[in-house]
Amino acid sequence: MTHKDSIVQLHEVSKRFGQYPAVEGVSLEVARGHILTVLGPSGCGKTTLLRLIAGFEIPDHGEISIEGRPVAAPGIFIPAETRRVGMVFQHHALFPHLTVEENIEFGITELNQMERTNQVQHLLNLIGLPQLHSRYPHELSGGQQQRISLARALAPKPAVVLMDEPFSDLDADQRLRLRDQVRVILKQAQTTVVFVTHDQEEALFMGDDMAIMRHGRVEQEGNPEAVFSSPASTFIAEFLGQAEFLPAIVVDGGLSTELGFLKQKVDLAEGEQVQVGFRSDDLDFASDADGGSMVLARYFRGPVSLYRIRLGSGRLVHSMQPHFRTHKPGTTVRVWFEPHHVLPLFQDGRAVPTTQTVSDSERAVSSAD
Amino acid sequence: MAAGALTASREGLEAGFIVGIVLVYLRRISHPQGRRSVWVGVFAAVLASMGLVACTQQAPWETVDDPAQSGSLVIYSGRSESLVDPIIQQFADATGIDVMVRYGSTSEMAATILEEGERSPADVFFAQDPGGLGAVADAGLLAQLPSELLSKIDSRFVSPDGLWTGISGRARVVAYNTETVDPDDLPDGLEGFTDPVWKGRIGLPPTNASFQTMVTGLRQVWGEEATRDWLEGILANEPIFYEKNTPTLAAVGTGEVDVGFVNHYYLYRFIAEEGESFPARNYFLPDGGPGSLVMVAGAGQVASGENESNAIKFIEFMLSPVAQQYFASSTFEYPLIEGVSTPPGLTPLAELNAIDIPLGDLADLRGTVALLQQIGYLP
Amino acid sequence: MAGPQVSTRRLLLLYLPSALVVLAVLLPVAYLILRALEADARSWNVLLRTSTLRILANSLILTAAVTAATVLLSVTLAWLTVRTDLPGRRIWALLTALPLVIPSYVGAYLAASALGPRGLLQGILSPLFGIDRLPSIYGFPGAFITLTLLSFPLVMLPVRAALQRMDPALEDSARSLGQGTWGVFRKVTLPHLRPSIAAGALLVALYSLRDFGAVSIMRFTTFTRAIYIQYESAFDRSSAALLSLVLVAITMLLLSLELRSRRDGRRYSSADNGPGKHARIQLGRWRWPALVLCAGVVTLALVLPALVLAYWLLRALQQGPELTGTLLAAGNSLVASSLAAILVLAASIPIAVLAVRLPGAWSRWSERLAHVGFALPGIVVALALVFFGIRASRFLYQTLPMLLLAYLILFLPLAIGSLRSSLLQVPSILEEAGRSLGRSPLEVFRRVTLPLVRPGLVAGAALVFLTAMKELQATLILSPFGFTTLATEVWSSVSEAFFARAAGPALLLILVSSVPMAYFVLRDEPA
Repeated sequence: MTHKDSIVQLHEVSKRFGQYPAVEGVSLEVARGHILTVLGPSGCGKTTLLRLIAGFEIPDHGEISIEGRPVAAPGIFIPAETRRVGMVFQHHALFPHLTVEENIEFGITELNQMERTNQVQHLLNLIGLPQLHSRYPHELSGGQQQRISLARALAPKPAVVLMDEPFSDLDADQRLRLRDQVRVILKQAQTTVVFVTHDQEEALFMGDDMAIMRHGRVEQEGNPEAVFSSPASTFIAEFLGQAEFLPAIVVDGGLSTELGFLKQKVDLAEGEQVQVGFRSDDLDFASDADGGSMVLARYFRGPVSLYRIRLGSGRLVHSMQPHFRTHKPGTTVRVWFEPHHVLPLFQDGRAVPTTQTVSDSERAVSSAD
Repeated sequence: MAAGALTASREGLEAGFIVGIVLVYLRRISHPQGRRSVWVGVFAAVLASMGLVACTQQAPWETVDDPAQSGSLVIYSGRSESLVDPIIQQFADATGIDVMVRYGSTSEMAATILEEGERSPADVFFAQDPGGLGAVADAGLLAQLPSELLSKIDSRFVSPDGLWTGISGRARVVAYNTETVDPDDLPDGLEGFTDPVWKGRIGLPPTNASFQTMVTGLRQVWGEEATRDWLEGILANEPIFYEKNTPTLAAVGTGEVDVGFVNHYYLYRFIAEEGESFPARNYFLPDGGPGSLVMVAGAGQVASGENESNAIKFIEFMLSPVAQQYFASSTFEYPLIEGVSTPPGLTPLAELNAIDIPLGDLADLRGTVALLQQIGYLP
Repeated sequence: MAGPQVSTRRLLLLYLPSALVVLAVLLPVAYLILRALEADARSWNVLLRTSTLRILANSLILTAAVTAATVLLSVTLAWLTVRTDLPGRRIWALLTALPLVIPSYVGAYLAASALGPRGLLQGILSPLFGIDRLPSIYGFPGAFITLTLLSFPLVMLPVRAALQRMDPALEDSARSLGQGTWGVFRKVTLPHLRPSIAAGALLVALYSLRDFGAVSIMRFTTFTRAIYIQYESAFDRSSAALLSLVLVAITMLLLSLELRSRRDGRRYSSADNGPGKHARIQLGRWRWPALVLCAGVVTLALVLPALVLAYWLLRALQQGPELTGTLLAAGNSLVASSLAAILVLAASIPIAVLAVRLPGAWSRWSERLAHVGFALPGIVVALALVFFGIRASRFLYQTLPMLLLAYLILFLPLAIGSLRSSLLQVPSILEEAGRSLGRSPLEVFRRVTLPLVRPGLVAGAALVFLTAMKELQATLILSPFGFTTLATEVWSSVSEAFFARAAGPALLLILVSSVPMAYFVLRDEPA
């Protein structure tokens, strides 16, 4: 990604509120037409980051540029209304006293009435609500409100659209549907987007690129697949996909764990201690009176079930099984690894770098019995 | 006046047409929300035009360039509009002078003039009582009146230094309720009211300038000690305090109190309002003590005013038979010049046994106020 | 690191105007200090006399009593008309708001003539029951009753608004946790209402401190009365200034109390505008006492004065009415009061916006200082403007603009309160959305914020309008020549015992003032 393709650039941006550092040393770039998802737990600074880009907060250090033009830098601060940044808020923030049409029109500077009406209609068509001109926000459903919000933000043809957890107010059903629709709309409009959320599924789905934030810093950045399968820290692994960890020792050809030998290429010396990160789809188990582990609970999830298992060491792990394989709680079982890919390794919370690529890991040997 | 009304109605009609057309059009294009804007606009336009009129009213110090005009006159009046406006109008009509009057209470007007100081736009201060005139005179804001003017009335009713003159007289009386009080039981002099038989039956207005002037008279004639004794004696009879003469007399009328220490002319106002059956009458104390004091409402020329000659003309007019007749017949006050008959029903001035205290001696209200505060009539 | 653009705009649009407004409001204080500096030992003596201190104590006791009574009455009435199934709720809502339009000097006079020992009521009862004299209501009881009945809407209106806005989920969840009606009210509703109660109570306290008309007719000597006596009898402006400064000090004290209670109240404002309607509380047999209460208040505060006025009006009509003067005065009243409402509203905008959106030291102080004029007697403000006006701007002296300035100083807090609470309900997120769409903050204010705070604007304007209609002292001293208002007409007639003549202007004053009040009470009523 070259600089001239990036619409938004942040360089070492920091912001404190009193003593509390909300954003620290963040550097990011968003390419034209891409959706950057910023994911992190509450309080990680992602909303502040968004507000800094929008121009509602002034950074203490660092530079922010939009379309190559610095909007926040030492001695420079362009206020929000001149930044050409569109914003979609968590609580729709539609103007309650204006109709849908008037809301969308709000940011359009075109003076010709006919032109404005056309643009509004075009946007309404884009978001799939072509007939709702004269309704008021309170007459619409949550999903409709958010789509109108998006249309309104798109109307002035902004350089970038910032979305702050826009689906969190909706129920699960609406959320899924809207997520789909909105991504299609954004791609159709070829918008550059910075999308903030705490929902990892959403982040994985929406983003072309992803950045994970924690305590005001960007912990990892990259495309969702890469971040998911090669998390840079145990925090990211847990946060993104609920990874679990078991201690392991590096042995010749792989790792020795309490679940047995895991064959994997490891770039560390023998005898080194590491944590192996894995997810519930990386474990399998079967009834075995001598297995040493016990099923504690079964969480029926529809097509899959999630089993909580206590290993011999007392550690708790989870394993995902297709719904037709049922095991009753209390069953003694034997657990082993079934990874189908290279499992990430960690030392002191940080990932141990691996020379293997994603495609390599997919061709990895399945675990031994 | 008629021309103005005609123009106004014509313009109003046109405006009405336009507004009507706009409203109908709005309905035609199905844009009913616009109606609110129309009404707001109408309201704002009315407001703006009225405000413009009010704002462009001529301020008193702007001199009139037109030599044909007789000039203007600015009066600050502590006398109420309903009482003196007719006679002031007469003056304005007779002389063609543009008279601008500010009405308020005497003390408010005095305070205003004192605050304005030497920049005051007032030409004449028309006061209800000598206290206010005295205060303004003491601050050096009144101009000496010409001696020809002062010679027109008895020197009793003029300030000793010629700074202001009385215009109409008011006598202190005791008003009594005709249903509960037999006039024969009323004492000859003020001292009689300290008798315990009057306990709870007396009403008086301690903050009123006329009452305070009367007490000043008591101090002059009886001396401080005796006045103090009398005040304490009255207080022992648990009088009811009112803020002005009017409510005092009203209370006498309803029977809330049986007697009230007021000025004489209020009664006639009440009788005019409520008819002859109003159950109160005036009692002029026969002993000729300071309880029968005659005080004046008066006027002075404010030195800083710009219309000196008009001011003198005004005061002259107030002392003319026309005006004095007005005071006698319309406000039931005593005229102060010779040749004007006393209003019917009033004891003529000469027979009043009124005590002869020069007005100048009555202007010291401060001492009286201090005394009243000490004893407990005033907070 | 902030660019210069941000602060210049805020400076011009917010800080500068608010500073100008505060400067205007402080003119009387400056005047008082100037006059007080001329005070000699005698003046100080007047101030520190025991009787003066006793009067001060009386004033404070009366103020405290009236404030407590109005809060009690207002909260009860507000709750009855908003939350319960009281029959005729909307009508009671309107009627109980109306006593505010009656000037205190008119109200007190009518009360005295109706309920005095030998007043109209006694006249009616005498042939029936042989009652010769009613117990005297003069003194503390009369002053207390009159002030309470005439000023309680100042608390009731904001409390009603807060009740309507409140999220029903709060009370519902309390009920689901086992609280009875009274428990819900005490533990959930009342704390939520605290900020609006405090704001209204402040206005009532200042109103009763500065009132002169009612207390003088009811013969209760308050501190303000002592100030007037200095002007009236002693012509002593220095002593009056000293005493007035004491009033200012008390005002500042009351203000800090209110501000402190409001700080805690910020917790509660987020739970507003919740979706859903409130469940109506069934009164059952409590309905009858409730109706008696409402009817009693309305009778004493509205019906009685109206009846007495009607009686006098009939007498006036018998004598032949003089309409032209009254109509002219009515026109003047309308113009002055409407312009005052607009001016005061405009002046309150920067202060309210600062208080809500940019809290800080200046916001707090400007809001505090804006209240100073409300407690001062009209004559003090008028004389202050005489003093400065005649020296600084002769051409404006005794013109309508100067009178409007006096109204601004006197009535600013009325507008600030309602604008503040309306602004609190417009989440700043809407303004940010507007700015993110490319509109300047001023445009956003005009197109987004203003339309949304319209209820608060209307309420503030209505309050200022009806208070300006009643204003007497400053109008007498500062208005242009010949500019009579309905208030001055009433006073002029009453002061010379022409009661019949006063009835027409008084009724007209009350009717005209009721119109904006009715409008804004009724339009926001839920069905």
